[in-house]
Amino acid sequence: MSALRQLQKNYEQTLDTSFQWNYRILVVEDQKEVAQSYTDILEHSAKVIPLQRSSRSARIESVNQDSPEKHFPFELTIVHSAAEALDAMKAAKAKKQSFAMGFIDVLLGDGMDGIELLKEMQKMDEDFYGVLVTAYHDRDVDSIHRFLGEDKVDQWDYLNKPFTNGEILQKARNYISLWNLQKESKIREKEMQELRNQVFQSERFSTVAAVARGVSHEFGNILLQIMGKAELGQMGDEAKKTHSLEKILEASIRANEILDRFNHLANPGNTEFPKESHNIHNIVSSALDLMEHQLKTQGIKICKIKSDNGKVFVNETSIMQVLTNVFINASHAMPGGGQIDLGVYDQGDFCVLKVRDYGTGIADKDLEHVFDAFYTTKGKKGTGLGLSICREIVEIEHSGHFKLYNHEVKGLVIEIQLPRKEVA
Amino acid sequence: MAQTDLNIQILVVDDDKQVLEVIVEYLEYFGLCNVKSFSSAQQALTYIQDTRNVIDLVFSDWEMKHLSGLDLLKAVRGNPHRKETPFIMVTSQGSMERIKITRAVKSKVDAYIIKPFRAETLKNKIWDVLEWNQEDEQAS
Repeated sequence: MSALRQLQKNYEQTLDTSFQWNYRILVVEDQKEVAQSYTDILEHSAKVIPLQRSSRSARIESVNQDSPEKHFPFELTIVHSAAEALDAMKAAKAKKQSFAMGFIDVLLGDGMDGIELLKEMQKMDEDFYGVLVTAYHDRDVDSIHRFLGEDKVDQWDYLNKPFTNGEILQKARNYISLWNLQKESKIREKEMQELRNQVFQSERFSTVAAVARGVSHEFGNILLQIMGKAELGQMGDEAKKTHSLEKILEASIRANEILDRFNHLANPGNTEFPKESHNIHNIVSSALDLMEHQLKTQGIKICKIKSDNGKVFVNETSIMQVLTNVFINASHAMPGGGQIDLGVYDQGDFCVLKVRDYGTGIADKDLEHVFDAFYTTKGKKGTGLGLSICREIVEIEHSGHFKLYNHEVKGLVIEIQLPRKEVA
Repeated sequence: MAQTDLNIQILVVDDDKQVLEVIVEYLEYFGLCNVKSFSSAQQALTYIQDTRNVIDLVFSDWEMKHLSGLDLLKAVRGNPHRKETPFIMVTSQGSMERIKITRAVKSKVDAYIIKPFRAETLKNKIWDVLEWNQEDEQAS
């Protein structure tokens, strides 16, 4: 449980990083009086009727009638030539305070025109939105589109002079919003990916911990056998000593086998999870060996049906993890003992492993949520992560299928479809 | 201090046959030869409920399938003729052990011993529970 709590804390912390909106606008305009009108419109837009974006923001704006731009505190930088514009971009980038958008006059006197300038600016900052402003109809939008390129089609807009205050204000609001929403969604996506990785790692550890408890009991028994036989052997005659040494060797081999399997589960070696040809029967046996103690203690019998050669192309460790999880779930479903049926079937390019327990199954209302992370029917006993991780391993890592349904008579069936060959 | 009597009846319960064998060998080495061993708590319980013989000590593993060592302890304490029977619980090292020991203490376990253990520890536990004096024994 503490691992889960840590995870939730991480989750909250990660999402708490509030995203600061960027209101920086670069205006490239060689005529001073036109440049001044940008300042008038965007920084003191008192004459403009506030935009009603939604019922909620409308309410806020009606309260703040005298400061309609409270929600868009634009920060304007005004330059008068292409060279100044590129310098401003460079400086902003160096300070990590890049511009979200710009209004660019197409005719800028000598040298580069506004369209060429925008192309250069977007080379420096691919997220930058440019609104081209022109008094002449010398370049149509198609020729600009061809010049800037297919991939930039949603990164620029076009406005004719003389523009109205509303046009400028609304374009500024649109592109500032677009830039910030896209940036924010990228950041959130990255955060979500990080969290998914954390969840994945932590679940791997909690499976390891569950198996470790069984293994530690097993080791207590084995060590007692080794120490006892050594101590008793020391005190006995030659025959007794020989017998003791044999027993000690036997116990050591048993310990080593358990350790091997456990290490394999705890240290997957690398995080890439390389796949190889394996036999699912062998993986099932290894997982059962690891779980042997827990299953035995709970009085759970295993019934195997083999109707297939079991050839699969998988990462052994990942599939071991899926199976131990599935077996742990099955054993939780049958606290008073019971049986687990294991069947391996052929399905063309896939090999199917069916695991059925004889527990109470899952209530219909819970069935649709079992793959949701943190959803658990086990109260404080479960982290609610097991099945979602299992499905991720099978479906995303292996391009297989992980299905789960109640058996028509009793218990739960989990169907794991695994590819036989490498999936491109 | 009670009088050392190596002839007492001891029950040993463990579902791991190898462990059972080692414990019985240890007891024999201490001179305790009146030992009955059981590979499940159920078998031990049947014997405990059915026999009219005196049982002087029960030595049981905790983690066994079906009936656990705690179930056995509770059954023994619940039997009016056996509620004073000395009971030693065997556990393995693990995170749950402290909780288990607390529960066992509530059910009046006399001692617990953690696997793996050595001859001396085992002997001390038994002698303590039975209130025997090890020096007496050495002197006699």
